[in-house]
Amino acid sequence: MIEHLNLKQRINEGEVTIGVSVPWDASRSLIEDIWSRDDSYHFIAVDSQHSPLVESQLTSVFVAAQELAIPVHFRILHTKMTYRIGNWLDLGASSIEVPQTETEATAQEAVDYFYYPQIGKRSWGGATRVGIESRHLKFPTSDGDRIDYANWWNSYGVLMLQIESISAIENISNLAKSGIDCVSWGPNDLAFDREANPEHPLSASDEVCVEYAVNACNEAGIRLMIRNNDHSQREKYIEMGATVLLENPRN
Amino acid sequence: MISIKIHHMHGIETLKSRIQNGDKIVGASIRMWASKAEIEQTLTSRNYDYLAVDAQHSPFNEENLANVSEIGNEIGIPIQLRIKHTQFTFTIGNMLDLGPSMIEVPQVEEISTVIDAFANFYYPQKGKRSWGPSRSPQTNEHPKRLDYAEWWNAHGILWMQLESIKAVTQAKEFAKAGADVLSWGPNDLAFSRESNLDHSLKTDDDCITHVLKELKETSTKLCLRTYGDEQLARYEQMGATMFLDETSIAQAPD
Repeated sequence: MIEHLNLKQRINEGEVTIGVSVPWDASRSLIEDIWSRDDSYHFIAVDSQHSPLVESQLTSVFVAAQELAIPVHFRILHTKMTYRIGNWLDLGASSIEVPQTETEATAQEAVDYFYYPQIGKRSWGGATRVGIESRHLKFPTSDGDRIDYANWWNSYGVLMLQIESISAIENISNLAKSGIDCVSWGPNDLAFDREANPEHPLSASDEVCVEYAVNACNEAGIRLMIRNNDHSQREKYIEMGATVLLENPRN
Repeated sequence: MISIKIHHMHGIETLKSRIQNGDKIVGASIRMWASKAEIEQTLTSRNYDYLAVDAQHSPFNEENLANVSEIGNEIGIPIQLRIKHTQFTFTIGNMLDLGPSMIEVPQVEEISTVIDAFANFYYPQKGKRSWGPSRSPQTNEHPKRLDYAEWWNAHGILWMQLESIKAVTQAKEFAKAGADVLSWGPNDLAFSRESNLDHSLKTDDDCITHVLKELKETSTKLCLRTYGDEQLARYEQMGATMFLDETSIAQAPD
């Protein structure tokens, strides 16, 4: 298991944690190249919400990253597909992000399918799961090895909800179910929502929303991830209180 | 060494009746992206009655399913597909059109899942599977719509996977609702047993014995995933007649 890469613990402790996006069809050499451009990176991120989703290719990215000891963050296809989180984790992700989260029901279903029993109800299986060892692949898996891996996963995997509307931001305290590590920012869809609600106090600016969200996250005991895009924007968002950043690869 | 079984008649022509009769049936799991040479290699090791591919815990794409099904249908060996998710029973017809002969639904908990799977698995007037260009087995033998629908409705094989105490205790109801095969998920079932410590079904064997007893008066059979001949023989002694050999793939099947 990749004990030295405890991304969840790092995030939960509020350490500044920086991820970098890679293309959906990134090769191992491209991942290595992007990763080598900045020694501040802690994870890579792949998106299926706005990019093609080809599971065999996704698995290739996960496997290559595991060989390089890099955790992979994966934004799933749609907010209505939280019930498929376990399927995608079985391919090898370390972190999941649910886009456009609006309801507590979505948050709870994400938790249920993300964690193994007795916290959630993720199904056992998957040859390329992160941290898997041959003893976990025996069939049937021994009770000790199965429970050992399940407990390890439950303390390792990172679960994020992307909040992209004023109502979602105002609902952070309720979305922060036990097992949710982070909420992440969606400034463009949020901008549409602010434009639809010009009289709302949070519509004043993206920064006003971030400030509100940071306070709400602190009260709920979770963290905020901002897509800062360019590395030059890191300090700005760290000063505002975000501790997890996701950016484009440096040139 | 066993020679490759070249089926003069597609295995699906008799598989359903052989299952219902309680004949010993042994299949093997293979990867969905297996080549024809890899499949033939698997078939040289034993005269398997069917091959199984998994979408639940493995990467899935429809092209791979179509390819592996085409190879299976060419050789004459039925292909079983475990679909991605319990909630995907509505896609069973789409999956069948790519060529498998059998569908397994994972983590079945509710009788409504069996009913929905049944409806999407069979053509009218038994079910509501849509008619369209299909790679299903034996379509060339039965080119007319009503002939093929009748043939499929008598030969297609529908599986439900039992992976919880709740599911195990509904085995008879699932059989009555139309499941031809109830398959086993020992790892998820173990999680379920661990959360139901006071239940009378304490062990995996207790659960197997319970299901075998419940199915005794039905034509539905229990299929157990096995890892080696020793385990297969032990389950056979317990009364099981159907098996899925997982030794040929290096992955946990469920």
